[in-house]
Amino acid sequence: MTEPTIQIRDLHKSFGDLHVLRGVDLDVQPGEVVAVLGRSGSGKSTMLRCVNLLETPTSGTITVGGTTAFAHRKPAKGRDLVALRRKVGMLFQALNVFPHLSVVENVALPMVRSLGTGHEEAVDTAIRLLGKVGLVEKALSMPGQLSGGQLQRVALARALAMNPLALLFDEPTSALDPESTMDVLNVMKDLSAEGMTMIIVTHEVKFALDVADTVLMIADGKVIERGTPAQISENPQEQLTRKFLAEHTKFEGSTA
Amino acid sequence: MSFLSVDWAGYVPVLVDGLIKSVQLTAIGFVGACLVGFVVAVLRMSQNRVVKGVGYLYTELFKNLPIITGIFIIYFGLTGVGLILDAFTAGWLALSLFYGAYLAEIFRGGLQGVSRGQTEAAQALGLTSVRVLVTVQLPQAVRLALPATATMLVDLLKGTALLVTIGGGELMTQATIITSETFQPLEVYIVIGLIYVAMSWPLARLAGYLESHLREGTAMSPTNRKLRRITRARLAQEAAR
Ligand SMILES: Nc1ncnc2c1ncn2[C@@H]1O[C@H](COP(=O)(O)OP(=O)(O)O)[C@@H](O)[C@H]1O
Ligand SMILES: [Mg+2]
Repeated sequence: MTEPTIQIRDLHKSFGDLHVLRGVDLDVQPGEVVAVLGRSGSGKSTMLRCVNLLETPTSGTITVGGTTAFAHRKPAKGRDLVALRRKVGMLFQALNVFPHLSVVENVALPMVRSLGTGHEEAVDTAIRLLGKVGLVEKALSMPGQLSGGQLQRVALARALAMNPLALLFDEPTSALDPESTMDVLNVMKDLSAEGMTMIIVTHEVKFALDVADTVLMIADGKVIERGTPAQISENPQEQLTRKFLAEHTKFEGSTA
Repeated sequence: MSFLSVDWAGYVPVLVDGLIKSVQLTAIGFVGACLVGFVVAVLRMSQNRVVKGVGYLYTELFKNLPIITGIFIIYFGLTGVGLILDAFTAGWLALSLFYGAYLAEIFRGGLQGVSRGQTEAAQALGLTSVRVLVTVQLPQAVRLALPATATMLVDLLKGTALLVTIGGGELMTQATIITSETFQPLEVYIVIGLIYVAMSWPLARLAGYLESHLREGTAMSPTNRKLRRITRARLAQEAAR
């Protein structure tokens, strides 16, 4: 069997007295899409943020692409930390496009500054990726002129520009209107079809079941259930999973 | 020209001399103040409590001390410990130290105004902390801090007039000399006042102009301009095909 792209073992994280993650295990194989479901406050964001060390775990181990990110209570530091973060791209709920840079600079400048890519090559890559997310014509616009959905797609192109091993999505469409949401989800779906390795935290249950290879249900900092989309949707074992799915699919039929 | 009783033509060299001194004091004082302000802002944002405390004491001290007292301490006071400074040096030094304290607060506000999300997004891209600072935090902080900084620059320009008290040689000092020779304080000080207005008003306008340019997204660094230029060329190529 191949080595997992992301491996999380017995991950714990406390904020002071608050024990947020209580022993999470997860293997993400190359090309696998893992959807993470769970109530607000269950620890989904914290888990994602531990993978690229935006949060420092309390204990456990994390490896990314075979390299240790966290082990023996010590996080990767300095060059190792930077290298780790280049390997995993992340999209946030907040639309974190850099407002002082034009769209093309948002995508190209991190390549120049972080990977040392030449200017011409960085722009070529940026234009190609902006094409992929349907925003070439906005290359020279400032972020202030873009809609939320467009901003999130710029952020996606920016993450892809670092040529990551895997992408982490933390509710990337929660701040968007339905139409923008569809635009972003469509691009994510394309990425999964191309074999991108992804962990997707989302409340878009239908999308999660559609695009994921594995679905995870998290409650109180623990994975309470995991399975294929079919297993989770047709035969959820846990009461909490059933309840969550019922609540999140309640109105979906009527709006479609 | 009947309503002007002072022979201004004869005073042109004196005025030019004062004007140059005022501009020099403003420029040197402001550069010094920016350096002091940046250092103190960084001190104040340090994790180390002692370092942070030093920055805090500095700003509080200079914010609460009258500038004129500071000027007298530096110019007259320091001679007591054998440090004799000419009025010009004492002048820009005092302005740098005081305005540095004000700018430190403004710069700190700018840096803290950059949202955590922006910083995290930059970190998540694998930028080193220095790159995060230079590529994302500083440019945004500069935009946030620019209006207040420009206000301080104008204030500093006007503040150079305080150096009349130590014979700084700037415009206001020349004004007192002209007054003592002509006995026309009303006319002299109005004229000098208008010269100050004529200097500070364009300065404020320039700041406003710069601000609106930055808001519209004018690229600040050569790298950014280059990336845009290449993009424009590429897009034109594609459109031509
Ligand atoms: N930086 C932090 N400091 C203190 N508590 C935090 C911090 N980040 C998250 N938490 C807490 O951890 C819990 C899990 O948060 P989070 O991982 O954001 O949940 P989710 O993404 O599933 O909504 C919440 O109770 C939240 O208040
Ligand atoms: Mg969350």
